[in-house]
Amino acid sequence: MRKLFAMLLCLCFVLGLAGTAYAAEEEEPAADYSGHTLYVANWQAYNSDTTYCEQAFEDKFGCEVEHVYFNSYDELMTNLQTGGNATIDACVLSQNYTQYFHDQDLLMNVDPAEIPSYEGVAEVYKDVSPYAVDDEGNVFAFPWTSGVTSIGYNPEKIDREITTWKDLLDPEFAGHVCMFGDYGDGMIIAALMSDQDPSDPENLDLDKVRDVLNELKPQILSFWSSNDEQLIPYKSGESWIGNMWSGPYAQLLREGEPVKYVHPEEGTVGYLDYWCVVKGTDEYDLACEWINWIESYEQQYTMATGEGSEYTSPDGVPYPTYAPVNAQVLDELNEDQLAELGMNPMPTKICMLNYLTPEQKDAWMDVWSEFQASAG
Amino acid sequence: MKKKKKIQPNSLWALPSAGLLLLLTIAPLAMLLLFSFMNRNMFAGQPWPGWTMGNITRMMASGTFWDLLLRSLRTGLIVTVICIAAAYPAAWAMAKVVPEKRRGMCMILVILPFFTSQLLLIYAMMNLIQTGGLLMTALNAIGIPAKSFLYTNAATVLVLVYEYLPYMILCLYSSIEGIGDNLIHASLILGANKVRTFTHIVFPMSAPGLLSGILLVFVPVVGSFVEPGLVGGSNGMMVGSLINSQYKDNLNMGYGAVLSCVLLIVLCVIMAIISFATKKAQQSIGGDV
Repeated sequence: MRKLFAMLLCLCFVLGLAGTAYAAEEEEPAADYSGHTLYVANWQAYNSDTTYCEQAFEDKFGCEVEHVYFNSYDELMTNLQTGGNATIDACVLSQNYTQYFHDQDLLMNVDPAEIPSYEGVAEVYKDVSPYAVDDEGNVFAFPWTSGVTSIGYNPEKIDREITTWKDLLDPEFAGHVCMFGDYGDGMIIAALMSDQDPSDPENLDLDKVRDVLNELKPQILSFWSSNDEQLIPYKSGESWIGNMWSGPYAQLLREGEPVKYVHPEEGTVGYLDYWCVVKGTDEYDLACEWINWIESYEQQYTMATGEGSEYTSPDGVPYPTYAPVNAQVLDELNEDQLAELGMNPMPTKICMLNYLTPEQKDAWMDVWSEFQASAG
Repeated sequence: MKKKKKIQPNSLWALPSAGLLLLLTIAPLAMLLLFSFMNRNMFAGQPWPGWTMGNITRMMASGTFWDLLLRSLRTGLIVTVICIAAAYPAAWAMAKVVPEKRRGMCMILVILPFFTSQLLLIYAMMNLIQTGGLLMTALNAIGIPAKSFLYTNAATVLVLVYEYLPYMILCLYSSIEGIGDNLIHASLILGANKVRTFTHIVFPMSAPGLLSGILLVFVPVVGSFVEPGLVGGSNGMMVGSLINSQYKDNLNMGYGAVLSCVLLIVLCVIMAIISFATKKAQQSIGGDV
């Protein structure tokens, strides 16, 4: 009996030790950053300011997170170049800007070992040179989300199938087309509509682009530059069709709004967004924690599905979802979830905006401004 | 022999404000002028990118810029005229009709929109006039078939008038309040009708306030780009949007600076003409009141 008791005691002791070790491994206490403030630059309402991301991070690390919003990456660059890097610690950048910002010496190289979640990123998004890794193998940008800008339309207003960007020119849709006001996406779409290859800006015939845009002008209801500006006319029924980010499409779907999303057959506009640490930050460790947090399995899962977090939207409206880059999350998504993210079916051709020389940028801007300024 | 003017000790008090003016107004304007001849951008710690006349030749050849400038001036004119027409009766009522003890309340009502962000005002107006919005629903409910005019030039004008009307009212109010009641009574007793009293007494005496109002409404409206962009629809681009895009989307400060300079010069010339014309009208109608 004594022996049995001793054995049970030993067993309890061993199990207790193992349990303690497991708990320690499971819930390693987060570093305490009380009194610290992390300034992150991003587009407004683009996931990182959700409660499950921002507030949960603040609660975990005891710090404050302040968002600095921008409306274009050039605006962000102006901000950083004119002294904003004294305050901004981390920022979001798209694939066509990461290299540019790095060349301007605005981003820090970060050892991926400091971002443990980076290991979980799908291989296809890693080591993408020159977008995220320089010639010497230094990593300066960490993939976060990818997506497409395809055609979203209201099936209650449009009763035929939409298959190409040229459908935007249908006279029946005159005055009901809403377009993203950004010249990059707009010019890629116009290049595709004029049967040209937008990935070859050097040989792009801008006259053909201009002709297509002239045809498109009477179709336009308005130009949008944020989710809200896009969704307000869509929900009120004034906008029937237009180029749409996959995030707002998922939001409309969740809210029960009539919406269809198609990847045009000539190709759709794609993007890959990264988080980077800004050179000159005095919160380097916290910035790395932030990127590690935002790339973690849990965050990526909630970002992709809207589920899995106790932090919910304060106004009860579900947050938009975005395509994850975490390999495990990508594996776990079911067909409906992939469809919501615009990934089922996958686009047959994705066109990404390449880096443009200043002269090419001027020429593209001139054509786009002419289009926006012309009378509809 | 000409006597040298002595600096009055009291004028030294103006030094801080003069210094601020120099720092915050003259220096940025001088930089704007300098940047007009700069090749694209200059950033802290980097060398001067070089001089160029390219920005000016590009601006002169740009049909887009001149079209947008005309569109912006036209919008500025329409908004200013509507503001003047709406503000005169309101300012008159506040200064001459409303009892003195109620004027404070009226003033608060006029400046109430300033208590909130301009962006919120724009979104509130959008909610009001969009399809299915409060105004359209109410009109349809009482049997008036109404179609939303959001995303049109009319919406731009409406939102800008909504935003800038208080400035005009306040400027005119301060002028009209200073006109003595006896003067107006004398005019009416001596046989002048109300129109003549307005044109020969009220207008000339309120001209300084009117000029200030025009300055505070016309200039910012011509340079506005947020309101037209949000509610103006496909024709919502103004010259301010083009200048903004050079800084925000294209990162071409040099070209943005030259466009800003030309806009500034055009606005200065227009304001000088308006000022001259108002003074002339003031003198010819009412004499040196």
